[in-house]
Amino acid sequence: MGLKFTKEKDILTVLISGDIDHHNAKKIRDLIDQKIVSTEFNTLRIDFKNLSFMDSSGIGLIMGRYKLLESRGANLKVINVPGYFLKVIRLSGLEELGILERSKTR
Amino acid sequence: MNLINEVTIHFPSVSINESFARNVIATFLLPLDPTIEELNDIKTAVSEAVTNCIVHAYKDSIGMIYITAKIFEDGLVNIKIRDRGKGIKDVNKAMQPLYTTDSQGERSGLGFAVMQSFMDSVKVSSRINIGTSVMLGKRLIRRRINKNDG
Repeated sequence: MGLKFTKEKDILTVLISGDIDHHNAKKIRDLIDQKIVSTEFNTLRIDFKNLSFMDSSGIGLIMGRYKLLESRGANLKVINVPGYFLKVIRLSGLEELGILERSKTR
Repeated sequence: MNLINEVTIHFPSVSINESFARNVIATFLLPLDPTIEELNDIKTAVSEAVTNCIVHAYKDSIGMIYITAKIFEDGLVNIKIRDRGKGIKDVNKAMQPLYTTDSQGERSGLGFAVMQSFMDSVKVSSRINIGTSVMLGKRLIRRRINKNDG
């Protein structure tokens, strides 16, 4: 699991590589939240391009960041969501928040 | 229905073993030549079941988690995840989507819902202070396997 942050204008992007499960969700959450409170930005993009696995811990992670950003007046986008992770995401109703962008390639 | 192969693993309920468990089961199933989606479904379901053992069954302790996976001749895969933890008081309630007893930890309450939608069958039996067994079943599309492979 690895995180890479990049910032361009008002957009902060975090690229998550590897697996999101219960074991590493807390670490990912802490690192992202640290960045959220110490950076000025308008939109946080969570990039799932290099995601290799995600269970329902990923849903908790997205929901938690969505609420945190909402309380700070910022937006959340989840980009490059691989097709087979949409299955987990659909179960949660997260799709209805309109924050997801599907991967075009897989 | 003949049993083709079988594996049993057990490991302590520490969260680093979540990825070990789902990847061992995935590796065990590889000779069936599963699709990426099938493999992903099973890995996800196993990950949810093991996480439940760690987060709920052995909430304030460390205990053993036992997994037995079986492959049958017709492509049926059965996976049993068992703990000797505190048990589930009301299994039906625990299986309701979005129900969680752990709202502080950003758990989504979707564990059983994921298992149910990713597997063909999910059976849960639980006794207070004795433990919980989750039986996951899925029939894989048979692409290559035959008896001569083994």
